[in-house]
Amino acid sequence: MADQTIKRKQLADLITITAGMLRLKSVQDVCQLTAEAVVQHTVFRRSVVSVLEADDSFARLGFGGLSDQEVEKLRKMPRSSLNSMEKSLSSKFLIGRSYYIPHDEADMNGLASKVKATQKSKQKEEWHPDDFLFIPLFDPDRRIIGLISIDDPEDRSLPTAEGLMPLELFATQIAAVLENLRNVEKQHEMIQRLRDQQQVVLELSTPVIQVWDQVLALPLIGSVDSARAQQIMENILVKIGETGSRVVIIDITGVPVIDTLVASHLIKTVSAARLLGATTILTGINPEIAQTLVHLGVDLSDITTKSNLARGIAAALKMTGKGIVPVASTASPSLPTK
Amino acid sequence: METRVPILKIKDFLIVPIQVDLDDNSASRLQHDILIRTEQTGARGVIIDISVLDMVDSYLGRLLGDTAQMAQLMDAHVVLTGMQPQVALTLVELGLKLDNIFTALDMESGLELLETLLQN
Amino acid sequence: MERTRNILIENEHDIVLCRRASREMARELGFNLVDQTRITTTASELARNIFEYANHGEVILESVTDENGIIGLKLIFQDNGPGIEDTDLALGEGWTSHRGMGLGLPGSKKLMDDFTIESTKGVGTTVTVIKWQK
Repeated sequence: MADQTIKRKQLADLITITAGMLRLKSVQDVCQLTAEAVVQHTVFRRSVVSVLEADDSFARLGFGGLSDQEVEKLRKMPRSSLNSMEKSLSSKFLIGRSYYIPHDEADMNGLASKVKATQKSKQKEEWHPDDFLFIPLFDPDRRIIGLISIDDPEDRSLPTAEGLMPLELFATQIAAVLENLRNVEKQHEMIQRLRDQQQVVLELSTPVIQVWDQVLALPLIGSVDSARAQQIMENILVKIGETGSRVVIIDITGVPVIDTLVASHLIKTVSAARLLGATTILTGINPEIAQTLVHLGVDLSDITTKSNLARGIAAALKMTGKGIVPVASTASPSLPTK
Repeated sequence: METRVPILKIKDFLIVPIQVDLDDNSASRLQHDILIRTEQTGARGVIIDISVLDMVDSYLGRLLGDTAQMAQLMDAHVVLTGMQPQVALTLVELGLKLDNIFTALDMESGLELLETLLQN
Repeated sequence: MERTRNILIENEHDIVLCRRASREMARELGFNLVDQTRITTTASELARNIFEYANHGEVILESVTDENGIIGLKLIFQDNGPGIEDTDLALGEGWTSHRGMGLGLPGSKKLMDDFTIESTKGVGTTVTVIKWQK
């Protein structure tokens, strides 16, 4: 009956440890803590915890009861593949929910080699250093996501279903923790992808056009929010740098209203463009926006404004020493004269 | 560890290419050197090129603006050339408009601007 | 993966070292060019503040992650200088736009996403700023 008490304590200790794992953020930390817990609270003195990666190989991430050299050795060893592992998952090796493969049945090519504990002369019904024992970790869909490999029992005993029960329950908890971490990771990836997409949309919707040598135009259409205004500012400045333009026309005919934040972005754009040697012309300011700008008390002295894009372009051309003139209308000889 | 920025003379103008990240002391030293050289040579224009700088903070920004105003008092125009777009953006966001100094995209435009200014 | 770097500010050249370290770290963390510039400029402004008001102090650069997995760069500027009596005033817009004096604190607040300042007169000041990736 002392046996029962030991098992209950073991279970309680292991469960407490999984509760503590909920605050861990990395898969590696969970594996390491698991391996250490196994070594501390069970008869097994060595443990390696691995997770299945996207390429279907098992990465060894947690080590318990191994020396630094042994860990290094294991890190350098080739990984076992899911395929080879599945070969060992035959029911003849099943004890409870774990798999015990005695040394004389281990297919050394199928299973990854392991770093063995120091050899002692073995008895028949005793644990052998070349024996394999591992508990697979499953996700809710019964797919393997990792495994806890254990070795070198203190009492040299062979594993039994009952004896392994606390460890197996622990393993199901660990599997849940790992699965949760993976889901969190996937969420982060999705969020990042969304943000990247948003960025692309933002960039595509603010095209800066070179309408003439040294003259850029940016016809804005639709509502402009702060993020878009920021993007516009950056686009314009980069484009000025690339093209050496001296005049930038920002046409806001198609913008119904702007708030104070956007207005201040526009003003900053004008200042920054000036630092790059370019003048900015704002065109198409409607009465509402005119009111906003004046109410903001912005210094409008260095902003040139024109009523529409066409006038803006004409002014820009003039600033760069050019102009638009009608082509002389001489009738072509082949055309009939009236 | 003070860096000395070279000041080149071309006709009536001085060209000052800033090619390293300046610490505050070196920047002050530069302002001093520019003004002394302007007096020595009687230069009417100074081009300060910052196309290599990946950052201009409020100290350097203010220093450049002050230099322009000081040189103006000595009858020389200063044109700041080659500011990188992200530097311009950050300066403006910082709150420094730098409207007390002429600016041009590059040295060539800067020289053109100087010639225009001197004609008037 | 948390990474930290420390820079002691004891002379003017350390401000330059601080700029370089911030630029490097921002670049390594994958910030775009404009944000790298904002971060480097902020580092320069606040490191200079340490030097000018306290003569010496320390800058700590730390990579951080928020609950959505977005990466950020945190910069902590610490000194044991005289402290700022009224931080609201120091953050106020009492500057003229072209002379640029006293722009360090309010300017950094505009360039960064998160900004906190703790200062006790006679004890010292700590300014903490964070820039998050877009």
